Amino acid sequence: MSLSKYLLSRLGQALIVLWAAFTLSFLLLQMMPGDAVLIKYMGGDFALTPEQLANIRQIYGSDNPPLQRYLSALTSTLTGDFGYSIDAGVRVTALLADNILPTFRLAGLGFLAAVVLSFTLAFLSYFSPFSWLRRVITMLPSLFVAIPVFWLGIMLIQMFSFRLRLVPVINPGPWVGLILPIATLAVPISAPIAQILMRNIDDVMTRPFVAVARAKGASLNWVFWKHVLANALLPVLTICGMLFGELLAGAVVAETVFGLNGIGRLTEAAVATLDVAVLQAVVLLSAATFVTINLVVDLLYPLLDPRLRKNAKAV
Amino acid sequence: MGVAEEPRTGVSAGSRTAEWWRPVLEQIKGIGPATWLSYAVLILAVLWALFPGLFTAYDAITGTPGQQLRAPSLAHFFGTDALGRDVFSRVVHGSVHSLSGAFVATAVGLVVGTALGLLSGSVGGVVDEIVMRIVDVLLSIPGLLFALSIIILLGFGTLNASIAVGAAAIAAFARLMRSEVIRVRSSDYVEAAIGSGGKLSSVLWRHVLPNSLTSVVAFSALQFGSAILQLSTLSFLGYGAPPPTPEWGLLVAEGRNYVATAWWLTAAPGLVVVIVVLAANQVSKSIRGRA
Amino acid sequence: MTAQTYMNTDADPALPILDIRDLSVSYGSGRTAKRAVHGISFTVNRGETLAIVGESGSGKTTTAQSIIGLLSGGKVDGGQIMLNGTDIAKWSDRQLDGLRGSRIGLIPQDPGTSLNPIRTIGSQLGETFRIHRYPLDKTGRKAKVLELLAKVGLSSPELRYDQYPHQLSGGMRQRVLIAMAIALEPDLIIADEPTSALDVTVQKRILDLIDVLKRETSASVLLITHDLGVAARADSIVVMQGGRVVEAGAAAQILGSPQNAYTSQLLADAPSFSDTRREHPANVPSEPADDIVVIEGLCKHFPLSGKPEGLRAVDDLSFRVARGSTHAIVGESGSGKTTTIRMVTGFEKPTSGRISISGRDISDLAGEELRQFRRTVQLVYQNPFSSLDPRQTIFRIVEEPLRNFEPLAAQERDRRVREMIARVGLPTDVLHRHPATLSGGQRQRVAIARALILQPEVVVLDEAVSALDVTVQARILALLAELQREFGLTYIFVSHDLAVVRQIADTVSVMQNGREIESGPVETVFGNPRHDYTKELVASIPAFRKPG
Repeated sequence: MSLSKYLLSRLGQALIVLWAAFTLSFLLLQMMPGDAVLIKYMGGDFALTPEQLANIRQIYGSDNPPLQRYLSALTSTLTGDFGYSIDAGVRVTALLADNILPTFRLAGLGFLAAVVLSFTLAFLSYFSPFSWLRRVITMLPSLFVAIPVFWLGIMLIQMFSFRLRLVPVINPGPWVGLILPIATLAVPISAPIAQILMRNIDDVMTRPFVAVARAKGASLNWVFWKHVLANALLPVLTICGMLFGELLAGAVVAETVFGLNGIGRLTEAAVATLDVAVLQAVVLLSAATFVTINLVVDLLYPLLDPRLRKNAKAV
Repeated sequence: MGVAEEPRTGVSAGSRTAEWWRPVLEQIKGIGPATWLSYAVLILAVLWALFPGLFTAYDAITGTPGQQLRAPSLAHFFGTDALGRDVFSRVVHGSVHSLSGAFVATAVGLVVGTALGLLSGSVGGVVDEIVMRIVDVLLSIPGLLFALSIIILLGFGTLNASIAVGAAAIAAFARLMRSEVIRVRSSDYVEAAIGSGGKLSSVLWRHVLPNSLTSVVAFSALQFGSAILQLSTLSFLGYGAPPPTPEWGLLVAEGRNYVATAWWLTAAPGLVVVIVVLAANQVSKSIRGRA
Repeated sequence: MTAQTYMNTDADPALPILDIRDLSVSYGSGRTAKRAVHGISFTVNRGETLAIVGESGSGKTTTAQSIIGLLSGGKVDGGQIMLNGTDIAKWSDRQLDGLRGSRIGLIPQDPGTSLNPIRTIGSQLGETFRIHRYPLDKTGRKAKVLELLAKVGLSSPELRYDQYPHQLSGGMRQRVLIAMAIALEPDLIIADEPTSALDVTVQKRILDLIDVLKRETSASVLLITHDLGVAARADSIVVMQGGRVVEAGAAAQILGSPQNAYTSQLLADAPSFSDTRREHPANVPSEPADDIVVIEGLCKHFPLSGKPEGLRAVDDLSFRVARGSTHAIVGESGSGKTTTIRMVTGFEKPTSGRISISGRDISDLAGEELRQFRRTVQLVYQNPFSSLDPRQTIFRIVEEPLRNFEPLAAQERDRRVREMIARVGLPTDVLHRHPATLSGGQRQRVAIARALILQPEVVVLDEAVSALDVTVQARILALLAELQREFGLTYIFVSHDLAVVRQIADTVSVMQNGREIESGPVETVFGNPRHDYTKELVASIPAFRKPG
């Protein structure tokens, strides 16, 4: 199979997954008992007549039979139109556009910090001359995964903003204000990366080719950088792709705790007001991101592992 | 262990009953102190949930006037909140919500996911293909968003949040069970069992199920801890139990307003969550290690 | 720099290259410490090949690892390791780094896992020069590597240079590893079971290559092996058991007139040395018509993308096995012997051809008929570690076939299981234990008990003794012969080990690339091979004849 053919088939699979994700989220969200129109307009402030309600419903299309709604939602989604937010009364695409950058920045930096943190832990544990330090470091990831993200955020605020007064609570600069949220996000994300990395390093160290390299006179240092690390990194790549969901969940919580604007806050508000259109757009957007990330990871693999390069290289 | 261990009646009962428990005893001997401690923590948490009155005399819902925002002391281990309620008592009474919620969530994921995985792994072919594609789709939606979508469908509340968290875990359970079934099925001993005249059903029952379950049980313990975390997150965001339920995530959310003055309101319930989740993860690790 | 200081102490050529004195090694520490090597001593002279022979747990590999300073988890408790007159036993890891590769080379056991899968052959070979800071630039290094690749007999070195390990066969990979070991012309080459993972014909070529290179570079070789046939090529032999040297001396003397009881036992059990051709079982009926297994024109094709005819795993195979006799199928990996027995045992359907067992054509059996047929033919697997369910007790494992067929009372089943367990030479107390607590030989006995409890007519043994130590192997082979006589069993014995086949089989089929290239009585096929490939196979049986 040629490379372009492989690429096409993977792309096709990704599109099918996305379509299925759309259908699933549509089914889940459109079968809800109360609808957003009722929630928003049945309140005392509006006191609309049933005719007016019906009118609004017709504008939002929530009166049509399910299949017709599904098809029209599918076609408009395909053209990049996610409809209107009932709560905010603006286009969902506009809401997303306003909120996507801050979240992207937070998640990206949080992920980067997690990678740095986990690699630091793995290196420390490998090069540590003391076995007790090594044991403490290998236990840290287990602790990290057990900490509720929202609680960690609050504890960090308490520690660094109120006790140590290092980070101002009110009006921190745009970047200073990101320090604690990034730390909050990095801790739980770093745990699985560090765990897999450490386990793989230990695992690769026991493989015969490492003993052979040592028998050639290579020092532990040499063996680590030239033989162990690259082999240990391969499975970490897969985990990184799978961690997107965790990252997004972390971002939702971090934005809520730290009062930052972004997709997370948008999602939280959408659930509270049953703003289905917004929520479905967020679900689709994240599914698309997940699928893309994993597609990229799959395509990166053959670059790092020659055993998977069979097709590309002539024998 | 234990699945293949049950003593059977009728066969030279004397020697058999005298020896069947020996491997079990060896298993217990092999458990380290960290795992003992973890079991103790989980048992204590369950006791809190079942008999909260044994551990605390304070009421979890109505506070004592004049006792507001007291720091931790011997009278109030975890201090008191703005309404004069004893925080330790609220944590103890809250365990029933967190634990039963996590239990429901794990059970939903375990039952549905394992059934799907078993079906997929043992039938194979088109069924396998379809189930795995569904799993792919479920995995492509971030767990929290999937849970939120289900909460929108079912409405807010502890039970609904538990079901939502459980549903989000179905895909992972299904995948694990399938890979375990496939691993065991391709083993020499399963082929040997078929080769000695075993019917497919009896081979599945005698060999495939017991040998694939260990990882699934270990994963369930892990998932139990993770469900406590996710449920507390959902409560914190306000989609779980309504106030004044002393659910652990909600306790942290309520304490948040006093973060500058009364640190114990957030610190104490959060620490309890960390310890219980750590214990569940340690138990999971020890089950996996002995497989 | 340590390498330099070491080389400057130009050793007395009269000194032995390696002198081990009272070496003790243990694993673990404190109360859990376990000694693996108990104060052993031996000497490797210049230009000599010394073989350490022993079974698993004898401490032979530990000894080799301690010499090169790569004990995983173990430590040297005492004694001296004199390399060229310098004691290196207490050298630090850093000091040893200068020695490894330059003065001591290592040829590892398993070429499949001993090369880094994600780096090219060229870069892994050239690495040796870089580690030891040879004053070579990139082109100089490449020239050196190409020269080495040619030296170890690899065709088109230029092509190999840029290839990755997975693109090479096992034998080629072992050649690359040998090139690594000799790259800097070390004084001592440690070869740790260098051929045990290779096919027999490749084994011989690799051992020959080590011999040639040893002479060219005037190195000494420390050969670690479990195979007395391989050890017979050495100048002297050290026999180890349980971490102690039980006998040492010149190879001819050890093999010709062993003084120690264990050495004699090893020699008697080693298939390649034993003269005992087993007698034919007494109850083999003389009438030739009674062939219990008849295979005619058997073919199995697997679909393969790109090839319309698919992979011909088995191609037009025919043989007959007389009741009560043993028929061996020999061949190297990929020869189709495994596919053949999977068809005979009903786990695979033939593409075409006929398999008749006990007068019954089994090629088209399915469902309940196939299940009932399984009583007639039982299979014993190569790996006793994977063929027993780790969660069941031995009693359960042996009982299971009975539960599948006989509507027996529980007491009766219990009696038959106990009888069979005793028959295969296991104590009753194993009944309630799990496979993990048994040794490899004991497990294989359990597997045999499970196969025999249904009283089958044909037992297929798939490399059933290949994973076992020689003395254990000999005992299992003896048990199999005994059981054959007692129950009138017919064996189909699949093996890559011709020495074992020569010992146990009456007739043999030699397979290569899915085809049968020669078959007949063992004496005829092995004594007077007609086909070139059979000749090569027979020639590669290590020490086919006793020296002297």
